[in-house]
Amino acid sequence: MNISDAKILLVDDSALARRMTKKILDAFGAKTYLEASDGIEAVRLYKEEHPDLVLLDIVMPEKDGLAAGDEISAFDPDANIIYVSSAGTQSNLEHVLGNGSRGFIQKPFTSDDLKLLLKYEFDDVE
Amino acid sequence: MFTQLFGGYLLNQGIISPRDLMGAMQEEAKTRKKLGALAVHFGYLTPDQVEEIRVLQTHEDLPFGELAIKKGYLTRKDLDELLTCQPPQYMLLGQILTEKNLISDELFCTMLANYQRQYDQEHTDDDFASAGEISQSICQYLNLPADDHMSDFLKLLFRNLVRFIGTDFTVGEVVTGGMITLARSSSQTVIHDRPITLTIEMAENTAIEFANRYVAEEFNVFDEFVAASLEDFINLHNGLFIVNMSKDFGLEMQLTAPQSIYSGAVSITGNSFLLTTTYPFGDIRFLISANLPEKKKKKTEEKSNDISKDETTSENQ
Repeated sequence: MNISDAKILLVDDSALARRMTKKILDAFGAKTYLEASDGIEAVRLYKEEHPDLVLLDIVMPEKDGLAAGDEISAFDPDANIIYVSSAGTQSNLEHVLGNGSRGFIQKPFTSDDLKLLLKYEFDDVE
Repeated sequence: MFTQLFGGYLLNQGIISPRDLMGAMQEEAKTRKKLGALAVHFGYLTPDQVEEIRVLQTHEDLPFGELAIKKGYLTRKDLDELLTCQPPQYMLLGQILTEKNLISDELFCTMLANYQRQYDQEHTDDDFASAGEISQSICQYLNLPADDHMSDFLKLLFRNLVRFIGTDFTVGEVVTGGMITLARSSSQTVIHDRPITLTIEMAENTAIEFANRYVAEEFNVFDEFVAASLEDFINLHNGLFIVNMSKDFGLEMQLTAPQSIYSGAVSITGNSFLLTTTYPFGDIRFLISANLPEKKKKKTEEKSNDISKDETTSENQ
């Protein structure tokens, strides 16, 4: 699949973080975004829209990214989730490995950090 | 990136699958528990003390070393010395991965060299060195032990200011009483048996320039993105702190979601202190609440406690 055809769900309580991530993804050719600012909204949007990729923050109000990721993976074992968080601790990494996440990017991150993982998901990211 | 666990690094490089990594990390955690045997071998603990701490671990969620300190059997210095006898976490993990034939020795060495080059270097330039000096001065002022984690927290805070906002700041006196009126602020708590709450506060115009520097974009009004930059900065700082605690000490902590606070007066209680950093565009204040020692802290009026970076005297709050 090409990134230009993909529907990408950005989950982060920070509007600034979502904006900065979108800017990086725009440069890779992404076009279609969904956005959620907490885990509850993330799960709802995933079930309704079935995005091709989820970029999921962990520390969020209402429902954190770990719980949201667990629910999304239980709903769809083939969900493509990349965790993007400042809280890249041992315990959080172990938790997300348990539901087969594609990767864990520690904030702050660069375009190259994200590209490393995107190239496994999309044919036109090199 | 400024820090990352070695396992996460390998995962993102596509070297190892999530399942294999999880198995290796669980095995690595079991290997690390042999700190008790190491402590007996070097005469730091008796076998009875080790057994007592192992029993405590069944109902207290702390690593072996931290519990030993809590019981008074080890000092922080003792623990640091013991930990240097153990290879770093990433070496143990790599060893397990090669023993299980999940990666070759050659690939492990290559990945290790790349990882160390990227994440394991201590910055030595003057700005980072002074961050350590400033944080030590503050800890001395607050009667905290030199090896208290608050020292790590503060050193990282100043380093993050240098990295993301700029080097052109001075640090004012530590204030341990009185009131502060919040303008634009954001607050977050590091959750642990000794929680730390960090609140960042500044005037609206200062926040706009703060965001300009932090995001490297031009903002002209205080909008949702400027407000988010305050939350992002403390979330980033606290996140890096808990990753370091996890990576270097095996201490697992969590974070609350950051919250913006737009107005109000807050008292600086016995367990709080206020730091002011002054940039050309304004003051950035940090209110830090933590479990501070009960010994009386020095009065703020004493000029000998001035910890200003450029040795200018700052005004009392």
